[in-house]
Amino acid sequence: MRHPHRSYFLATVFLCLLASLNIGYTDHLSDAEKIEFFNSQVKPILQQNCFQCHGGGTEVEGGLQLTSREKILEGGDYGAAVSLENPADSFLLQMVGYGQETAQMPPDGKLDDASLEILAKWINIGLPYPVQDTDVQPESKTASDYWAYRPLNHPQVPSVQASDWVSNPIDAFILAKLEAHGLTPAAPANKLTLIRRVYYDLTGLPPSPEAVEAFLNNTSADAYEKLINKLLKSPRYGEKWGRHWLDLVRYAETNGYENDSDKPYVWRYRDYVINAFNKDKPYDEFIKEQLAGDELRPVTTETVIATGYHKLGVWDDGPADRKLARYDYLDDIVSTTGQVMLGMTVGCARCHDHKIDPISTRDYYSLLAFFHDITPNNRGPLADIGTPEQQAVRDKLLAEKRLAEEKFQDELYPIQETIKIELAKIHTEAIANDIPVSPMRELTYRSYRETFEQFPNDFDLLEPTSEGRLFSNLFSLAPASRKKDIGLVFEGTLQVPEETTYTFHINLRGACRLILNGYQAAELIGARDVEVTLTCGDVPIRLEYFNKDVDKPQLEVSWSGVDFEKQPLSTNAAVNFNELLKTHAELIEMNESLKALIDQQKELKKQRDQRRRQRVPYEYQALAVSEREQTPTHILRRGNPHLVGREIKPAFPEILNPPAVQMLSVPEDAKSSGKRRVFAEWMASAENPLTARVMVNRIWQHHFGRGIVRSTNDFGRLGTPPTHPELLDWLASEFIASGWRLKAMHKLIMTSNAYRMSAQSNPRCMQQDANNDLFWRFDMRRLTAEEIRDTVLWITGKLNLKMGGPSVFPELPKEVLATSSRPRSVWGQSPPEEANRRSVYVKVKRSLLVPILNQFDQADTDSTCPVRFSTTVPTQSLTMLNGKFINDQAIAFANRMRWEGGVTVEDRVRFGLRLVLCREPEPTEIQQALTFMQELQQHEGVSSEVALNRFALLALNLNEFIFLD
Amino acid sequence: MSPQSKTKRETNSKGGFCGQTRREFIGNIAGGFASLALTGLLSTDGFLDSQAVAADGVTPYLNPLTPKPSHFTPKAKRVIFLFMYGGPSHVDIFDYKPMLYKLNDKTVEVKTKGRGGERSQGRIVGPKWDFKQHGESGQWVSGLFPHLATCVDDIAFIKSMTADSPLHGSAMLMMNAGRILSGHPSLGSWVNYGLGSENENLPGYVVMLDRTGGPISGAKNWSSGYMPAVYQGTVFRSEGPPILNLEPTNDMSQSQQRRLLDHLRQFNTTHLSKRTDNTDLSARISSYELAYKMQATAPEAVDLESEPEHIKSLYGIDEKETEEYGTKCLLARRLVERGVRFIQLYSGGAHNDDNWDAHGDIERNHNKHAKATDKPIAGLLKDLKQRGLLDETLVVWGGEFGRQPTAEYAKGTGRDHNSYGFTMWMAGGGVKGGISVGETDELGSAAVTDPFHVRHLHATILHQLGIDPNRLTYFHSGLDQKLVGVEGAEPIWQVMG
Repeated sequence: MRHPHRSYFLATVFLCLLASLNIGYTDHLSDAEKIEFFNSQVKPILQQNCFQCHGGGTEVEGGLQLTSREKILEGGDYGAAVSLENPADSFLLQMVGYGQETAQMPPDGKLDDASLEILAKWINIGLPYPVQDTDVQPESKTASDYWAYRPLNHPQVPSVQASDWVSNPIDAFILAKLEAHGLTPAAPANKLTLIRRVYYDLTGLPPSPEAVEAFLNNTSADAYEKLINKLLKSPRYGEKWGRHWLDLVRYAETNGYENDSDKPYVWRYRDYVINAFNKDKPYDEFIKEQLAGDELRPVTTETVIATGYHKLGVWDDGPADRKLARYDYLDDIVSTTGQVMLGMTVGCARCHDHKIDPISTRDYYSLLAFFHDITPNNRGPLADIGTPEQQAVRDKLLAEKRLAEEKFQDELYPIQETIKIELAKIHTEAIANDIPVSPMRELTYRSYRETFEQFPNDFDLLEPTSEGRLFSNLFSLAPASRKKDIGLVFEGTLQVPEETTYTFHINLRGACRLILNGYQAAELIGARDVEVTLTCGDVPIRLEYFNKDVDKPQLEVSWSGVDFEKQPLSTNAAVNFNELLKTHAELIEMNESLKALIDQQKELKKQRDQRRRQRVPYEYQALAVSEREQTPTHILRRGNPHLVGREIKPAFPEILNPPAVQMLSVPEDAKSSGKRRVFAEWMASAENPLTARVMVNRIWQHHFGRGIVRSTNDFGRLGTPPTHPELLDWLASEFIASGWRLKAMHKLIMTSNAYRMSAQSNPRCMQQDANNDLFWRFDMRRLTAEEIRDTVLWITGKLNLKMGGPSVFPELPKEVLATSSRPRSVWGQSPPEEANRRSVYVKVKRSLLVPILNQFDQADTDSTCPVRFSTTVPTQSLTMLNGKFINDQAIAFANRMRWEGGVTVEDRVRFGLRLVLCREPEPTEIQQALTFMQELQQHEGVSSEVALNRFALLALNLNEFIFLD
Repeated sequence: MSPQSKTKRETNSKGGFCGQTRREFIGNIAGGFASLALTGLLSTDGFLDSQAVAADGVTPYLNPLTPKPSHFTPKAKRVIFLFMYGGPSHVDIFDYKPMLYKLNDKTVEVKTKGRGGERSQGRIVGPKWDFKQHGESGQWVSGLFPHLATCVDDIAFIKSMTADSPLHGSAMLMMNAGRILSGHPSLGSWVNYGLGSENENLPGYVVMLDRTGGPISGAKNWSSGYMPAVYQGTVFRSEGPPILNLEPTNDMSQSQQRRLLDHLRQFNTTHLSKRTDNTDLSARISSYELAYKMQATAPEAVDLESEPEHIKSLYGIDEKETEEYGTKCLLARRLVERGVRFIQLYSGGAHNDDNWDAHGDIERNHNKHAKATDKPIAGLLKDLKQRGLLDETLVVWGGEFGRQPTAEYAKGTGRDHNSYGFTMWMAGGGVKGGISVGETDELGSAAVTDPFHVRHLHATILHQLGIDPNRLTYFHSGLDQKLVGVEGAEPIWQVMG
């Protein structure tokens, strides 16, 4: 009989060498029999259940191929699939055995027991596998042919029949499709419709009546182009388009979860975005700065602020599982970046290879590796973005504050010591218990506060900042008013019991001199034992202590003699002063001089504490990215951070045919690895087939109401295919050619006839293409939440156009505040004119939403929001009819009609409707308004004033006001 | 991937990871639901037909909360979730552990995890109330809930609940939205998304908060996450107008408002006449009429004047301590009668001892909150039963977690959080009464027999409503999202009648 150990040994050695020759306890099967067993029993199981994902195709789940013996033994992302040494421990068997919830294969359901036995036996007999088995290869998926991953080309502009409709190549692409379907584009929109459309699209606000009139009266050929130029230069443009970007990056100003604490200075990122749009910052730079602004050359304040991008998401400051929370945080960045900049839903591959798109778990962790060392949200310091002058001002203030505190401390300490001494006189046992008995007497101290360059030769020449008795009669660092750059001189007498040699044990951080009987016995740093012969009796003792730049000062002195063990000469014990006063309150009450001392000490303490609480204002800070030490990234099985797989290096998604990752050499003192910059450079390169496509599609989306690819965050197979792929590619090429400039794209798009079509319906087109896939007309849209609120304020003349800075708090109903667990402190207060700023400057608190913005479908801030919902529900109507905001604004609007609208009611109504509708009202409309007000006055008994207020409210509820043609 | 294999994934209840169903492809057409009609997209593919109808320009208003067919015949039509915010101590209420009395004040080896971190031993705090068996079924209830004890034959206790987090913020999100991660729709949103609302004049998902304030994370607890805001919970108040902005302001009378709406309608109709194909415009016109009706319906729903005294007293409304929660429970019954689909009643709000979070003194804390809720909840169960409503109303009781058998501090009786094991119960809605499933260990510190996760609880609630928890999906971020997680979860079959 074979020795079991021997069999084990042989198996491990030989099986590694010989592909399908097996020796071991099952060697009663011949090789041929084993192959037969594989072919007849094992292979059908693999074919039916495994090869779809673990075959030889281009997309292999978890990197594991079951197509050959070598590949199985080599394993996948989580290591070898089979262990020949311990067959029962084979990962493959664990998976098919459904033992752990997190590791179960095949995912569709557990195999039957017979199949499990066959697989177990297969491994037990040494994993026989025919060397060349050609029919296990499933057909490969030709993912790289997919439209979104193909390199960008510059498609030819198609030719069309109705070429006079073509104002620029965009129209040719649109018209070609329409003609192919036998459809014709809608008539051009009239100038009134157009100016309102253009204003809202570029600025989020309506044109003023004067602007409307000027545009109508300007009959020159370039009037429209000039209008666009003007609006693109308006600072309102950045506020409107910056908001689109803020939706994508889930911008919010708090962290969410239990504390929903503030993200300090995050509004600088918001301002950065708005300024970037206003400056027409090239898009490639824009994303590079956000991803790696701290690693670019040069790094500027602006690029540092841009990296706030990494800190915008939700963050649980008290997570249930810290490791998991860490990866949730990184996943949030990877998923958001993938969707926003690449249109790829890479997040799906966190736990398992993407089932539809060619994104593997390896791709996911390779991407994550670029971000792996980022410190989580509120960890890591805020970036100091102050100029040297600003920093100097702060440093000076800080130094002054510290000095003021120290001065109080200098006064406080001697008084406290005196109190202790006086108290001890009255009541000897009062406070001695905590302090070792000292062989020293009459010990005094002098404290010096200087930035000494070296140990002062003669302290006596210097002016002490404080001096006094030491109650404990022990050396102590407590009298010093700060930790570093201090000097202390102690003087007293040492009671020496007999004439002999004593050892002083000194251990310190800093430096000291020991002077006995007027002679310097030692000068030292660190630790040393000093032997000194002393005569019996009171010996003068002096200790000088000094330190420079020592954060944790220390002074330990003891001595020992012939007849006694070490006895301390220093103390670290701090008497709890308040406790002391409390304990002896009765004694103190009877002693007037003690009481006076205590009052004096209390007053000093109060003043010191006041000073301590004062904060030195310093606003030149930014929430920016920072990195901690580099740590390797590993694949995590099923996304579980406790199931660590193979190490993975940063790499770009394979399907995009990317270049190999070349790490940058970074200076030794660099605060980060430079990985993100590598990622950013690739992301922003023209060779990346997705970056430009994804962004031009978004620009198109916000002009036409939907993207050429409707699923603007998902260009994968789960998204919708582009309705006009050639147009998309043409635009993307133009975008890159323009230097990634958005404003050029806006102008290109808006000067097309496609953009200038009316929204009018046409039965034939409607029947054939109700969804307007072909862009045969312009789609109407409802104003966004911000546009509604901003326009209401604009109409009433209350809109405050101040830009930038910390966010503002519009008044919220107390009912809304009551939904918070901290109703009184959850929201701030802004003065009315501040509260009336544009909605992009309204505080974004994750746990408390502003009703009017929330109800009109503002972006959810917990994940990237590519497309706003546009819902219609009765609660919106309640808000617009009964809400405090709208009713306050209605009165302000009515007042404006009264003050600016003229004398007659007709004129006032005309004035009001002009503001609301951006056009001259029809006589019938004015009549309708007058009838309404008359009815109110005649039948409801309201005054003419109130009637106009009511009309103002009605006007703000008009569909024509809320919708855009 | 071929369409066939997609269909295969759809029928596979185990869930195919990022698998995609035909429905989601259709969902994508909406490009994020740019138009109203598509917000109603749902478990049946019928929504596309309704959009085609809506495109005729005549169809007035397609409410995204229009009732939708369930996957199978439901046992329950509505849910009342009694949320004991802060985490009630199961070992002091329902989970009888005689050993704890004996070990009182003794330090034992037991693994716990709470806000104070992980510990391997602790000082046992014996339960401060006596347990007795109640009802024909002999269910254990402590002296904290004498009224509820008379209802146990209608209740199924789940004594082996587990959750992923022992910290309020994330645990609240988990109990309400199935994940410790923020950003996911809450249970009530899923129910309304799945089934719509039976009463278009009232919100389909109502939340009532404690007088002291909302729970930690506030609105996140009834958020619709990545779904449209129409599915989020509406906060109902038991004092004053129940819904925000329900009443006209600035002295506007109802008849004035009626005139305003009539004229508004005329303006809007004229505007519509040139844009007849736009259903959003007509929808908005109709929504004003609905809002007007809501103004009448909602106050009526919360008007307790018509309730007889003995009913009010059944809920404890005539007593100071029980008035607040009793009022909420009675309102819940009235809302249930009016077809509101999902109602959540918070017991406790704000922080510390304003809710069940008994870190300092278990007796003082739990006496207060049990007293405030015991009679109202018993009253609700009895009232629903006597009206024949309990059969179709699923009542769920519990907090975001339970509490530890050990003391949090060296002194005192306060207990720290415990998500390793705790008790929740259900009644009505097709749930078997007088039973108890699952067990914790002999100290009540962790679920050991038949442990159930919050996912299973959610799956059970959806299942009782006629929804297959593994088929109710919403496409977001490239994933078929489910309340019960991409992996899916089975309902707790043992509690079903």
